[in-house]
Amino acid sequence: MTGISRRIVTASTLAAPFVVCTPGALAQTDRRPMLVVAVPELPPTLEPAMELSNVGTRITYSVFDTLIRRDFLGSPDGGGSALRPHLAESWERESARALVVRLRRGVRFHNDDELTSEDVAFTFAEGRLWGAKPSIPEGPAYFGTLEAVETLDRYTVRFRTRVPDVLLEHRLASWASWIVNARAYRTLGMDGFGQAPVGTGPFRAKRLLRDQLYEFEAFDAYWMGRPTARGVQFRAVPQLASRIAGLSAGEFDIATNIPPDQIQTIERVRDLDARSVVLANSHLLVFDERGPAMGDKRVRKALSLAIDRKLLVDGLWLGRAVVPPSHNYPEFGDMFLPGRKLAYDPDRARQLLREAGYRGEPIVYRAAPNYYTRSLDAGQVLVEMWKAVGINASLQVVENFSQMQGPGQQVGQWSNSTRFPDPLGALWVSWGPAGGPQRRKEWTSVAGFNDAGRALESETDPARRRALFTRMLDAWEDECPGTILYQPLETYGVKKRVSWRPYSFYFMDLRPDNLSFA
Amino acid sequence: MIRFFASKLLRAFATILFVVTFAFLVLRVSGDPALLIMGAEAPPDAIAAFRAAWGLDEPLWRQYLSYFAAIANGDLGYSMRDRRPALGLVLDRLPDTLRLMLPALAVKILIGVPAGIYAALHRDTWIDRTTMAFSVLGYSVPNFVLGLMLVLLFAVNLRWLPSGGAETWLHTILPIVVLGTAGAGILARFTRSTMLEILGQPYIRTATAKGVPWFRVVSWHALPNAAIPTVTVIGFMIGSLIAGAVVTESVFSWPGIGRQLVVAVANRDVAVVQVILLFVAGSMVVSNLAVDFLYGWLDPRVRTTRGKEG
Repeated sequence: MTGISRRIVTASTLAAPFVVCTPGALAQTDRRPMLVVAVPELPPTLEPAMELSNVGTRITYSVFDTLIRRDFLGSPDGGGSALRPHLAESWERESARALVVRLRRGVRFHNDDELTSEDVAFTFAEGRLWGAKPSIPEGPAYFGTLEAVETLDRYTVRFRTRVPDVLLEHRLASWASWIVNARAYRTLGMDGFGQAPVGTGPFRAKRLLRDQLYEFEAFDAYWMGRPTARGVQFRAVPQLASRIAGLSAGEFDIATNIPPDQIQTIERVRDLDARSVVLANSHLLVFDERGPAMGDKRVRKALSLAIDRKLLVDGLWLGRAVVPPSHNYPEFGDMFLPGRKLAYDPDRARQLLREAGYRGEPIVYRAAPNYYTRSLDAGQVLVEMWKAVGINASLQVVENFSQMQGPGQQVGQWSNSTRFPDPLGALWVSWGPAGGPQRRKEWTSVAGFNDAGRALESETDPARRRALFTRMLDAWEDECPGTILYQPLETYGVKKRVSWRPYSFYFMDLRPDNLSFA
Repeated sequence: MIRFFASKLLRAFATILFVVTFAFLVLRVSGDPALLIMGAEAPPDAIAAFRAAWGLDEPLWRQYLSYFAAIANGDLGYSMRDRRPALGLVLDRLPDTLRLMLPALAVKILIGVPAGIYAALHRDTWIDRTTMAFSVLGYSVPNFVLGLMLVLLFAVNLRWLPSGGAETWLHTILPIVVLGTAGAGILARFTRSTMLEILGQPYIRTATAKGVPWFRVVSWHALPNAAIPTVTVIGFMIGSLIAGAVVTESVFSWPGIGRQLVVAVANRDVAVVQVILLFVAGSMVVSNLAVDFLYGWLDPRVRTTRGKEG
């Protein structure tokens, strides 16, 4: 008995350090908090380029990294556009059509593979994001200019484009550019990878319960440092009231998609904050020139001039949404055109209607109630504003965009995101030849606009680029195929002890430099 | 008996065929899945590629025929949104759905039926009035109102129970209470009124006059005869087990089939909607058949009539 006891004691003493150091034991002593985020919906896949919606990117942004990091927090409004090294430690232009990127060494994927140029080449391969039939349908919208992606050595990649592409660095810092692990992707296939994603980000997938809970654990080998939370749970909580209740009850640390009329509700709770950011996205109206009475651009302009946007912002958004100076945003940097504005001039609207011979033909605004925040409220106000200048306007509620864009459309709703901080990533993407209004023939008087836009695509000289953007924007405003209402607000309910700042995109950055706990 | 079953099954098959066809046409005519799933800002080329990949650019009649040809081969289709077999997606939700709905059904029956009987036996007393007041309150307060009130009380203020989710048994308490309350209220009303009707029958008076103990009169002579309308209502409740808790599931963030149906309809994810409809129709048919059997067991006159028909 004494002998057995001695053996046990000896063995236990020897084994103790190993037992204590097992992952399970470490997990038990991990004092970092678990971050719980309540979201209205979870994405069906975590293939980062496949699910580019707000639902998907708010999760995948902390699972995957990009080569270049857009420094959103470099600007107080969370919409900074400076580019910083990330997975790429440096990059340089070989020519207007070639960019060489050098990778950071020693970066590990969640499966312990080292990041190499092979992974980068695979991520941007023809057939995945560009080419004749890419597996990611939205890939060409972001990387359609690519011609080749060449691995020069284990840590160096060259990107070549078909035409001079001044936005390539921005493309590599933004949508659809998250680097995937080539080995895992090849093994699992696109759909399998979407259920078992492998990236280099601070959190790796642990438990994915569809429409219920996606749980991620800290990836402690993260190259930017150990994550500040031991894990993050995204919980599907479709009802707004339930998200706010769970936040108030202390079950969630962050609740997303809080509408402006609930901001005060959250701020009344002692340990909660409402953190808002103006999105790099504008709510707009589309004026379909095929619709009855909509063929005359003076009528379209009158519709735009009759809108008191400040009243909309004050009444519906507590004054916190922003009316941009046309399809022209400060984040464009040198390409921003100062001195422009969206005019409110009811007298001029009436005059234009008279000149156009408008005789009270009905103009119907079709709106889907649940797609854009407060859009139905805005629609009701807009109709009254139009009536005030003599337009026989009415509101028709439709269920979805198919019904909205069906025959007879006159005025519809839409939104435009600034995908890259440049007119080519905003006005041109949405309203150019590849955009919806031109493709659906809602807007056909496009010659001046398209000429300027096409020239801008291959222009690299900054002064000439500004001149071309001016021409493009003038043409868009003169033809008036649509008009901007405002840039909406995205609000998060957050526990005060959570130090975290939102971005002007829906991305939720949970990296160590943007997430900590008091 | 065989003819009886055959006609029931044929009718059930025709019903399912009608439901599936109707749903297919309505969903496809009223919205484009490509636009709904990819979003209004998706590039038109991407939307066109999506349509081509899923055969949505084919004429509607051809899509319909392809769909039924696939069903005939046992293929219920793929979810356009999840890119996974629709049947598997729905089956994944079934355990969570039943984990909520079966206890809720038990609550409805175990509270509603005794409450109705008790109220009937104490007709026009304060017990009767109080029971019926709670019953009316139970089924007239909308589920989302009751749900949010319970969340406010037990999750936000007292912090005794979680506000939503489906991970532990604690998460099931509030949604079961909400679902059970309304159903129990309905069952109590039905049971009370049928019991009152039966208790006024001559054979009850006869049995009482013969000196049969009151408990035996109630349990032996009244209850079986009063059970038929109640069993019918319970049959409907069983039929709605699969997708009958849309609102409650949304309030409590419960990952059930009801919520899945709403999301699938909103996205025009036809295959998923159809699988759920097949499940719903199937459960309705099965529960109705079961109720038919129970009628025969509870009431010998039904058996006799069927025998003569057969």
